[in-house]
Amino acid sequence: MAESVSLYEEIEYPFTLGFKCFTASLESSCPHWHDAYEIVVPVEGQVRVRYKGAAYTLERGSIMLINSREIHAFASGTQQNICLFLQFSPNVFKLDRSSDARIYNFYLNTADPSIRLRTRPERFIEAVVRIWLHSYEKKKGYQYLMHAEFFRLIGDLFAHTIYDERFLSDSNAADSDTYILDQLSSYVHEHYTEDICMEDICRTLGMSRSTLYRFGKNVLGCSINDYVHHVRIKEAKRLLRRTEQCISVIGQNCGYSNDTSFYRAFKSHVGKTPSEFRKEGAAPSSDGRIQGYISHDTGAVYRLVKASSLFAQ
Amino acid sequence: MKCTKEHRLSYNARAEEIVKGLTLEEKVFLMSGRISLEEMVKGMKEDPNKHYNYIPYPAGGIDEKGIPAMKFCDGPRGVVCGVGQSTCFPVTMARGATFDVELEERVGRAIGKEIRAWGGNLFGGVCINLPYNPGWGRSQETYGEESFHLGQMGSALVRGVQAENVIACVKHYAFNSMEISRFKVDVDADKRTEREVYLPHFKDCIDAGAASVMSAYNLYKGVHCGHSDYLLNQVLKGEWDFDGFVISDFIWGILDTADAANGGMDIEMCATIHFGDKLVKAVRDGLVPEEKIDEAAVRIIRTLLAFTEADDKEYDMSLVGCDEHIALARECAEKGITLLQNTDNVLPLNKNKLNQILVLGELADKGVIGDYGSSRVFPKYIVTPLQGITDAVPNNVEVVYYSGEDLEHARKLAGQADAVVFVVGYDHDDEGEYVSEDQTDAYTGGIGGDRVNSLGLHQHEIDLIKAVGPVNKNSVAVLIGGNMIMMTEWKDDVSGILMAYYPGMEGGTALANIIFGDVNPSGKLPYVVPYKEEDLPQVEWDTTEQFYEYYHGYAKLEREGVEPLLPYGFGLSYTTFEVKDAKFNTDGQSVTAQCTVTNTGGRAGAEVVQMYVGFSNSKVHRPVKILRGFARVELEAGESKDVTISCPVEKLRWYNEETNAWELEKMEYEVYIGTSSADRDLLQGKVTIS
Repeated sequence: MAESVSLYEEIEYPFTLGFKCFTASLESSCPHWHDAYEIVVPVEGQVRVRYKGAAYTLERGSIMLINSREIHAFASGTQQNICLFLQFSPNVFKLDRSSDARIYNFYLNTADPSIRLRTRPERFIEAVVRIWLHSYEKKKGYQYLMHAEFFRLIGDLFAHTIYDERFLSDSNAADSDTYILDQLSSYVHEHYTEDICMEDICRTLGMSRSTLYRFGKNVLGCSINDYVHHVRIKEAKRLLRRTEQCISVIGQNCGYSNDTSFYRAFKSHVGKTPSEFRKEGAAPSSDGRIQGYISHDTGAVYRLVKASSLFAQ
Repeated sequence: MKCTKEHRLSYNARAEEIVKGLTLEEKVFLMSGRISLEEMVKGMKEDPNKHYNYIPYPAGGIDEKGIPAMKFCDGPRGVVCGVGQSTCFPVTMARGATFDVELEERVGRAIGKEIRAWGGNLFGGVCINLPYNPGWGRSQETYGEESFHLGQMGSALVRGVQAENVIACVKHYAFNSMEISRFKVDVDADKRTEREVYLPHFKDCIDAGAASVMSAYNLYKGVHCGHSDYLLNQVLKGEWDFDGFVISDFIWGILDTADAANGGMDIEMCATIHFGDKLVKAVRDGLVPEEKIDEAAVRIIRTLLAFTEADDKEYDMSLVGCDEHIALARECAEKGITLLQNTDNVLPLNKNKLNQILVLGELADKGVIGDYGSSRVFPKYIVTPLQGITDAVPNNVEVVYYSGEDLEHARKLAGQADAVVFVVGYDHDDEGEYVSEDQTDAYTGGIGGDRVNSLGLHQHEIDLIKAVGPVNKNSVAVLIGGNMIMMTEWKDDVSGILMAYYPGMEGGTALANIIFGDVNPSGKLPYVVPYKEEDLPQVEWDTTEQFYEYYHGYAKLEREGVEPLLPYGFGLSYTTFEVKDAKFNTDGQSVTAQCTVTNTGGRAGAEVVQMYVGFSNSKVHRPVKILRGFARVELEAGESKDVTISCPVEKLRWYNEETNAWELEKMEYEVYIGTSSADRDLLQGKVTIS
């Protein structure tokens, strides 16, 4: 007798797709990192990116890819900006690599003239725009087109950019950049209200001054002192926008011993004084859910993108 | 080994008795294979797992008469059968570089066990052809350029395989050292060349007990080797008194029924094309005497009976690709990989002092284990060089891999890394077994062939090494390939050079163990590396005629006074050795060299001590010196051992074409003992044979 045959077949998918595409207006962010790869395409205005010890200015027509786990920081340029972002998980590459722990590093940055591309950068810019438009317009079946565009873009990265591959079995090794940043960040966030001196940081992190100096120069793209200011000013901005506390108190709460040093640091980082900032502060009222991303009117962005040269039919 | 020639011949009477009870058709049935080309090709097209020789290929066999079938399994880098199971050893050339006969015998036993588990009874992978020029695309399947060494290593494999009661088949008899012209080339050589250079290693393997021989595709002196009365009947079965059976190379190995049968061919493989009904008719027509058929049948039956009845052990599939065999594959790679250059002791790299290591070259990320021809083994995994390195380094060391395509990017990465490893050389498209366009249906997809254009690296690899090597002084080039790769042009642009050959399924592990010093390299070059390709014999690869001169390889360079870049038998270690107190003597039966070898460095290692014999007093032209013995010696740091190497005086003879006889010259011979074929690495003495 024949055995009964089940028509049901359990199918295991090789990976969980992970990507998202959104628009944001970038203000400024602390140096940070994430597992996701991130592609930035400015639609309007300027954005400054610190990445691997260098600073780049991006504007419309530029594109930059930030690799997985690479430390980076954003700052707005002279004009307010709107950017498209495509973030995707390293799991995407499980389609290609099932077992080993390699991380692909793609070199795609139109602001770095030393990086060679084997195609026009527009190929990538247009792809990001199309992915975002699909996700915005949500026409019937858009998911398929959006995924197709996304995978074509990934394939194009292999075909048209220089890429290398990294293997680090222990990405949290005690001397890895991300580990150092984690340690530094928690220390500074715990102590920014106090007087912070380099000796304390070195002692707590168990690192030499020269190691931290090199880390600042090569990874953060700024000095450790600048980093401390960055954390303090960010908190000061939050307090200026969201509380009624007086400016001197905010300065003191953010670790500045007197008004002069607070004003000087604030002005140099933000480009305006704390009181000017508070007056204009009504404008973008977001709490900046994600590092430095500020929400805005996506409908306006849609019209902008459709009208712009970024959108090639 | 139970199935010695003597044991096999003890089955003669029984075999003759069986043959008496067979019809002509039955006898002829024993004389050919049962797998047609159409079946082979159809199987491959239907299912990629049904590749060439995925199961043992049968020939003959009549159950009701008690005659077992011959069941053929190809090699030599393991057993070709199956997918994802058999152990893939380093190619023969890498095993040749071990100069370790005991190790090769163990490889033979492992292969023999796996063949038994697959249900086979014959190993078609004792390939001992001598590459006249290293560009021969299949020279990965042989042990090196030196006849004596080929004979020693081949004999070890024969002993190992036959110890498991599997028939060892020695191939390709003879003069098969060109690939793309293999079906058409007519090789010629003078008699001394034939006897002193191209045949002795075959005789050595027959003397070691090999029970089968496969003929070559090519012609020798105008006759297809598969039809050659001279090679098969006169030399092999006559002069050498070979008792086993001869099989043809596959499909195109014989081209005429009567010529092949009369020439001494016993089994047509792997299909029945020219034998079978055609052979029955040829006998009936009087073109082939029935005695020839009887003789073949007796050879086939007595050999198969002896091996089949030698034991009743069960070999189950758990032996195939077992841990022990895979460890043996790694051991072969670790002992074969050869350190060719180590400027400023760049190797071993200290993995605890590295932050980042850069690996360059597409081959680093590929499981390159040799060509895609008939010797392709399908193991369950292959450790690539890149994987070997990433697995070996501590968790906090970052490995960066880049194909090397953009030289500027590669230079930038090299500037940031603590060390750079280039992995460069060949894969199955560059060299290997080749089937011409009109025969593309057969075998597999690799392009292969001989290295017709250059014996060097690809131009983009040379460019990469020259552009990037000077950026980082901790730079090492790892060469992948089946035979000599030219180094002259780029060797000074890197500090270290390792020849990895095709190092097998565990090649990446072995390579990393050597790069990081967990294993001390001990391989020795089984060929000479010249400064210029022109220093080697020149070959017209696509041709119908080729003359093999008497001199090739290191013997040619030395005879002509041409300094090699690296001498035959050369290989560095992470320790140092001193050879002293050399003594040389002869008792008239053999020549003996003795010495004391001392590990004068700081760590354990192995040295291959080599004995050469020179002929400056000869009345005829002879090589300056040739290898006549070797011994691998393991030494702890500071340890000394006495080494004795001897060689029968028969191996010092020359072949007199006028008398058609071997002659031992009564004269004073130079004898050398040391660590390579270069005079600077040898101690010299003299012995007189009177």
